[in-house]
Amino acid sequence: MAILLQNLLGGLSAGALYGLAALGLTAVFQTTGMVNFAQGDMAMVCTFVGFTLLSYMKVPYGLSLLLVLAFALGFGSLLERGLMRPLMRQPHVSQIMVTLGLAMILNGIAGQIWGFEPHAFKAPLGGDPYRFVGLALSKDSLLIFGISALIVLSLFLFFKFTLAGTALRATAQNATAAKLMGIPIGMAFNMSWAVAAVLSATAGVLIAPSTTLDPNFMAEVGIKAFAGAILGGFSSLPGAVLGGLFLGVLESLVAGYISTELKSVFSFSLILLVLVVRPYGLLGSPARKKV
Amino acid sequence: MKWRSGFGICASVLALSLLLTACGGGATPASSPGPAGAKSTAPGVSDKEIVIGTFGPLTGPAAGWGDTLRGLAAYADFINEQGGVNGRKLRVIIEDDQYQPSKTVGAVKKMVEQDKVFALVNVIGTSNLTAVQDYLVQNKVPVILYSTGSRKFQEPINPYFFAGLMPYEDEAKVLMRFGNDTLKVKKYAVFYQNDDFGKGGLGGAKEAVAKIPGAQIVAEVAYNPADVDVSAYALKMKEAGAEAVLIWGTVKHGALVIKEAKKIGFQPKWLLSGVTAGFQLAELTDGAGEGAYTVASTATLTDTENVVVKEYLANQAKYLKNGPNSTQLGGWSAGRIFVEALKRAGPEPTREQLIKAMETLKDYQGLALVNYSDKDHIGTRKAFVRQLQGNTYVKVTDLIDGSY
Repeated sequence: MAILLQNLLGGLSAGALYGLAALGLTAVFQTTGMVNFAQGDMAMVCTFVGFTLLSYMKVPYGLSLLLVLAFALGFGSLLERGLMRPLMRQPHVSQIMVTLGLAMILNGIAGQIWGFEPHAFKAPLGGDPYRFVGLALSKDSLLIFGISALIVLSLFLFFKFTLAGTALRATAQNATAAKLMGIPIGMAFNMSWAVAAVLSATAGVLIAPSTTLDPNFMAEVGIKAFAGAILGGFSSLPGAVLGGLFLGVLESLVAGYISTELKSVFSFSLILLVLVVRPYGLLGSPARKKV
Repeated sequence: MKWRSGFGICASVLALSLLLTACGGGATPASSPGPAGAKSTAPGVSDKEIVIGTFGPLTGPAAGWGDTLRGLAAYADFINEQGGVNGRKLRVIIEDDQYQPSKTVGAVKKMVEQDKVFALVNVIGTSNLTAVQDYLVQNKVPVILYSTGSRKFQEPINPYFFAGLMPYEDEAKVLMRFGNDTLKVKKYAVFYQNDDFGKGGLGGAKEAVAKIPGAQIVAEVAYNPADVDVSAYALKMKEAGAEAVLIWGTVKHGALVIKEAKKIGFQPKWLLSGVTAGFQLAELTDGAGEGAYTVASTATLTDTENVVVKEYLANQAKYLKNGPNSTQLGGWSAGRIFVEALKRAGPEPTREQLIKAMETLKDYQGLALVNYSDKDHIGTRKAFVRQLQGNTYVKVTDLIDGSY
């Protein structure tokens, strides 16, 4: 029984990482209507900036985090203005291609600057895990649960109840109509990228302590996050977190009780199965594409 | 109609290539050892220089290993400054394959057919070498010291290939021998990467268990390089009651599993492959890796009494922009052994003479004592155990034979 519970806890901790990364993906999807494949690499660059501040410049942890988030805000905004804005009127496929290219460019540049060896990244809390009746759960996992919930809640409130949030959603749904309604869609687009970058940076600095930091560290999490987001329903924020958690637990149970080698095969097969039954994911609503 | 024109093209291409082959054959005489005193006609050997080639990742995710190529090139510069080998300078062609076997194929064909390299020296990667193995054998290109511990290239013995690293299997067997004799451990778990490298470690552990009475493997746990979460793996090994865990994986996954084990209160003896025991391990495990054991067949930077280490450290700054590091040292050492064989191959070396000369190396002092013969191209089968103490790996045993 303790083994089962520990497997569940391990799965939940991993799932929390997937869910956190998935949040960034769905948030961008909601505000721009497209998938940002550069999300993981943006997170990686921001995390390396944090690493440079912490390890080389010896900036205190809290201040480093604030600086990283500020950097992310500017970084996302800059990427949008320089790369995505000219493509705003292009089909989504072209935009997605650009994010893929951007991911590779960021990865290559980061490798040149910081090298490809793994680095340790400081955990926000660290220390010994909580232990109870033979089970262990790290404090940082709990923190990640908390922060994910906080992000879901604040994004939900933002999208639902603020004018800016409504404007963002409107822009994603129909840019032309939004513009006619007087929404500065360029600014809206820029804002959603800035927010996406901040979300990615948050995910990066929280995930890196448990995976180690190297230019590819988010690629591995990113695939799982993507699967989790699809599973939960790409259009739903709580769905993304739930999908991530579900995938984490599933992997852990498969590894614990079926086969360690087939962990991913089993998990992804099950996801496919779920999607056959519910193509819009666990919490998503059927897409109504307006033409 | 289509078939006929296709046949026509095929036929003319065939005819053309036959013609070219015939011309080529006429232009370059066979490179068999000529009578004593005759000029060498081996590919890549001219009056002034000997061209050798190497491949490995200089860019991409595995770029860190590229330093071993730079180490080799630096040794060539060092030798050239002293006049080269028997009056000929060494020219090293370096091809960056980004650790992708598909790129290795193109790079090797270019080196063999265009650059006409005499031999390949200190090449990197199991999959990469596998991709060009048949081609190199067909073209009789000697591969002097390939930098992988995969034993498969010598099963059966490959007459043109010489291993540069101790086989992973033998490394695992050294650790198991140490675990049994010194640590008195009987129950082992193997945590391994799901590829040739990881399976080499697992295979070695199984061979060891067959030879060591009472020893058993209680858990075989494979992971994939893309795995983010290792908690289920650590739990599995704890549950199986392992007293020692052999880790055959990357530094990163080794560190992750050691950290996770500490978290769930699982404290076995750690026995790490040489690859896993990177210099970052102490930092990545946040101290949880303290006391872990690893296997090393060769001297490293801290063994300053070793002749190769001494030579490398004394000249490193002059020939290399970065470093010193153990990866460069490996390349330097490979170059040194190649040059020793080249000297022994005589004033007019051919590929056959180079291979024969390699087979005369007996207890030759490199980073380890290396031994090759016409029956065995593996070179190194003994290693000692080091222990992670603080930030360095300290030698804690004498040489242990891993070929049992």
